[in-house]
Amino acid sequence: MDYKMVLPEYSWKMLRFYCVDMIDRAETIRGAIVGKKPENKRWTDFENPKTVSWLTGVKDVTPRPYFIDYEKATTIVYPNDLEEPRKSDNLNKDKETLLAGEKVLISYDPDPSWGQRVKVAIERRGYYVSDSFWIAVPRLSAQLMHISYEVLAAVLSWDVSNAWVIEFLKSPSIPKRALDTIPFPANLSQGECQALKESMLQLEEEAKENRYESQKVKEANLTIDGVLKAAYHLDETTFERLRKVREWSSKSTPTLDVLPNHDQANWSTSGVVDHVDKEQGTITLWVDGFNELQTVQIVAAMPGWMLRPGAAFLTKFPRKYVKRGSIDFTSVDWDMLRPQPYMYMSEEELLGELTNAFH
Amino acid sequence: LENLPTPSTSLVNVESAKQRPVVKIAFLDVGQADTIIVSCSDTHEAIIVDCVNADAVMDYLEQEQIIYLRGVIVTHLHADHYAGVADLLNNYGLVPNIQEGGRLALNEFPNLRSPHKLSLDRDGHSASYEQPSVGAKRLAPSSLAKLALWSKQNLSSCVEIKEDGQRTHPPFVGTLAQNIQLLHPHHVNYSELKSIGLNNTSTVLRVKGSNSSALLTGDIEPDGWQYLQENHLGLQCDVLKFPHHGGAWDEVDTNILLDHLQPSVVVISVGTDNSYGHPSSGVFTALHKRCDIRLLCTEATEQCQHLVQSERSSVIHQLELQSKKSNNEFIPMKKQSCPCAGTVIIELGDKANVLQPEIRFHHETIIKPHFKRHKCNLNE
Repeated sequence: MDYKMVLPEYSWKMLRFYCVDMIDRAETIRGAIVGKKPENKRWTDFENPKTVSWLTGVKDVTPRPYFIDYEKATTIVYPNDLEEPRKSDNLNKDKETLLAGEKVLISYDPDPSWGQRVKVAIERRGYYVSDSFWIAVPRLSAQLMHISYEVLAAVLSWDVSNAWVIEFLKSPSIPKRALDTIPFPANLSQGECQALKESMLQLEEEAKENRYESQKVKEANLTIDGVLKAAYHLDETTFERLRKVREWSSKSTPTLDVLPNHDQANWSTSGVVDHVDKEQGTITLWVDGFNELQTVQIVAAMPGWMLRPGAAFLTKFPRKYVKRGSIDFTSVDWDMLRPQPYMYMSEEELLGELTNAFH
Repeated sequence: LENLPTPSTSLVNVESAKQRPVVKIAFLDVGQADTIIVSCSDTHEAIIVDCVNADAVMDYLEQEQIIYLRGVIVTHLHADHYAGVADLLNNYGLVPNIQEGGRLALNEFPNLRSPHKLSLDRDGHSASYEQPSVGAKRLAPSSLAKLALWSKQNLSSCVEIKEDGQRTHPPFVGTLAQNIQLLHPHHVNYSELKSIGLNNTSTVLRVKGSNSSALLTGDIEPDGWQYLQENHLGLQCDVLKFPHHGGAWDEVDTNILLDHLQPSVVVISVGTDNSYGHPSSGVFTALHKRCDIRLLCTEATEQCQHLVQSERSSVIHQLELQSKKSNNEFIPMKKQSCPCAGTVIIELGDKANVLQPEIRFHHETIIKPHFKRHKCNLNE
């Protein structure tokens, strides 16, 4: 079953309302396969072979985003050394123009311990690349719509493409169908394309110098975020969710839920659940020290026993809520929620329990 | 007969008063409830008497640069006196520089082990003091359950507080506790006091300054006062925290009380939104006739101004303006209430000196423009 995990199916459908498939804007092929078996190399006797520069191995060639280490380049004889793609007299079948031209490289087999699965770099020197990369080239029709290599790279490396590819991953490698069906904004304007292009060029410049935290990088990323959030019509919640996915690492807790900041949760208090709206995902609480009932979103920290009216709990949350007299609706900064002891007792029994401690 | 309390001699002159450090008392504006902070800036100590708003108390402790929170006294177990105590004990560590959390002191109430409900108080309240706010019915059990849990987890910090003729000060370490004297209830009177309501078992304390004193009376009512008066002579004080938010006392009883104590300042901790009609008209009538007493109600009520809530924003604005002029101003913000004196801060030096509110500001900027039906005697 094709089951979506990052976003629900209807969210993808909504998002696609403003998109076309990537294949409508770019052609994608795997890099060339050298192979080891001579019998698979069908052009060993090609009459006009040529020696071409050759890039292979993602970790060596693209050690960091947007950067290609050309010092790692070697050479091969084209097409004699190759199994794929096959040389063809039919220009429509011959893929050498894609191999030999400017192109966007995408890691074929990205490191699965990171949420950033789509890693791109723009290859501008016409070096041939191995099948450790996908190659994407904007179609002529797309280039007429101002979709340049930089625009393509910006879209491919952004959060929507990344999440879409993850939805497809049954193994670490990226299947062609995933690339070809990436939602691509249908109506990028010339100005938006220009902004994306300039930002991507900026990112490349900074990447050459291994600067990933500079002000220029931040500004470029902000520009790309702004353009693409608008182009995809993303609401803030969806964007934050996609960004969280992209920022995953193997060292982080594997959850899509926003995690509480326990340092912020410093005020010890108690409360009683007034009512729960499961459809809205909200819970209304009476909390000691607040004049009004507090309605907040249900968060992962709230255990099942708590999701019923009358449940009495102890917890901590930021003191600033006490000062303000209200709890942030979207707050996740709840400390552990645990049942409040003694709440089953009558007032008289409670008084007895209390005074017993004083003898 | 041997166990009966012996009337004390005048408490005012017992000790060498001049050697005492200056003590400050803050009656926080917390609405229809009590939250009182006794502190000494010389020794950086504080003792809390009742608490319903832990956050406001902690802000005050921070402002006063308190290092040692010696203890918390709960005068009696009505929610409008203990509702914030557990939160205070659980959170006081957030106050910068505070090093000691102190102890929790309660009256001894062996009768509370009985499953029987307590007798009603004079004005008809049940043992569980109901507050007219959202979730009120949850406040008392939730706060009480938290207090019980804290007590179980901090047994060594739980101390009885009772006047038995031998222990005269709260059982707290430090020097501030030596300025506080236990007056009521005497342990031999417990059973009789319980029969006339929990309010009458309120712990009554005298706080002594260098040459002035304040009487903190909890919610004691006239019947309970009789016991106190019989046990102690010379109860005169400079500052009286009027019992029970000014309720349950009529004009005659109030006059007897004031004649006996002869205070120069009377503080009534009362809430705008109280549904009990506190303070009673008899209390106001008695106080109005006494030009030598300055009356300070933390909040205004409908008796002072029709639709008193409508004055709230203007009064708050004036208090905020004043707070910018004076470092002494302290305003815990509370919704649904209209401050009059707001938080009252009094220094017990050679005489009782009201630091907040400043008298002219209080009379001219707060009372006269906002509360047309006020019951104060504004002779300065």
